[in-house]
Amino acid sequence: MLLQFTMIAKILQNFNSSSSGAVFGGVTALFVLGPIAPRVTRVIQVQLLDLKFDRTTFGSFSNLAANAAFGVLKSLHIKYQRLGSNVDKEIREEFISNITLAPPLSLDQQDLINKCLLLGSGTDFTFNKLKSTSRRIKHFQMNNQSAQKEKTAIIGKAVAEIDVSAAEVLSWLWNWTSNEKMTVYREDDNSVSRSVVEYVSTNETITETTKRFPPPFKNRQFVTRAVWSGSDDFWLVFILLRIFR
Amino acid sequence: MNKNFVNIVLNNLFSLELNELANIDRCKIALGRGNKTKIWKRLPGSLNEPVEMYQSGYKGEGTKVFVKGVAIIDEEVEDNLGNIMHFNSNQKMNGHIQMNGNTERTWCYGDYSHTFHYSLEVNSPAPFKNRKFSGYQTFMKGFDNKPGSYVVAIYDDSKDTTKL
Repeated sequence: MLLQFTMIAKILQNFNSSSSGAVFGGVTALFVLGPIAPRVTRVIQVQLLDLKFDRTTFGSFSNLAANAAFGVLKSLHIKYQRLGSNVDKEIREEFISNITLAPPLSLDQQDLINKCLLLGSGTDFTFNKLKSTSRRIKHFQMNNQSAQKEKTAIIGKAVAEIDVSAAEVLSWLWNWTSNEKMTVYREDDNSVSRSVVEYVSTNETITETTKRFPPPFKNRQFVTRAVWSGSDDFWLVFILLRIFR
Repeated sequence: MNKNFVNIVLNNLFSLELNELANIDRCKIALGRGNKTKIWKRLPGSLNEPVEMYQSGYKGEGTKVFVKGVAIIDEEVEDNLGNIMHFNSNQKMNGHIQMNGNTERTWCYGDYSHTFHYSLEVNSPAPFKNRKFSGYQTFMKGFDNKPGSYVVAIYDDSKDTTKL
């Protein structure tokens, strides 16, 4: 009877561990590779890793295992890393060449654009000019009171001349996590994070940035929905800001 | 090897089999792709890393780690695919030996197939036993209606019906 039990136990043990005595873990993963430019790729990895640890020891390994799971992405990044300004330029060029291929706006996107257009063009709005330190940038401000006069929002406006084409400006604005912008973000002590939350479509993304506030205030995360639209010589970017937490 | 994969293998691939497609779909379901209610939090200490690293709570059976990573890689999509698919490249073997010593790492690739088999054993800190992973990687061109994109699905032996 004991011999029989030992044999069953051994068979069960072999089922859960390899010949070297290692315990079988499990991995389910997806790597999605999407071209951004001819020599630039966005890689998204989603992975479920089962290391077969019990609940008491799992906590201490959880972050370690999560970090280790990104080995492939980290090594790819290091192996192929090129000069940031060149990569940014390639992404901008690719974006500009694909502008005409963008799908038409959805009703929801069009609605957002109409709302934003109303902000600056309504007859009820009068902007007051502010002092500007730059000859080429003009600043304006106005107070917008809600119909119930409960809330007052301050709306700012800036008008500037940029010495590049409208498409080039749009492509620069659109690349939220360009190497140039990420370098500025890393050097800014008041920035906590900056990332693209979701690529909704060719002309819409959800982005986020978190700013550090002085104590006793908590950090502020701004989740942004950005939509662009336009024609051959007139490009528009509409950004709706929402404080998330 | 990578050059051969990009120039020769990718241009002479067999068509994707139904069970390969089913395995990719199974991975998509298991990972809850498209689930917008899932909350991803940045891994502590990773805010300034070039690879965005997120973790999410896992509510299913057992103790599993659910992670998401996003990286911009400065090279062609096919080169990146070749690098991911080539499981036993010299670079990866060197890294494996440095991290795990002389433990198992195998790779079996059928010519012009979308699928290969892999196995590897990784060191665990004492007193835990090493962990072994064994399964398949399947790739497919065109994902989420984007013709230029690729997807690589990784799944365990037990979930697979493909024979190499």
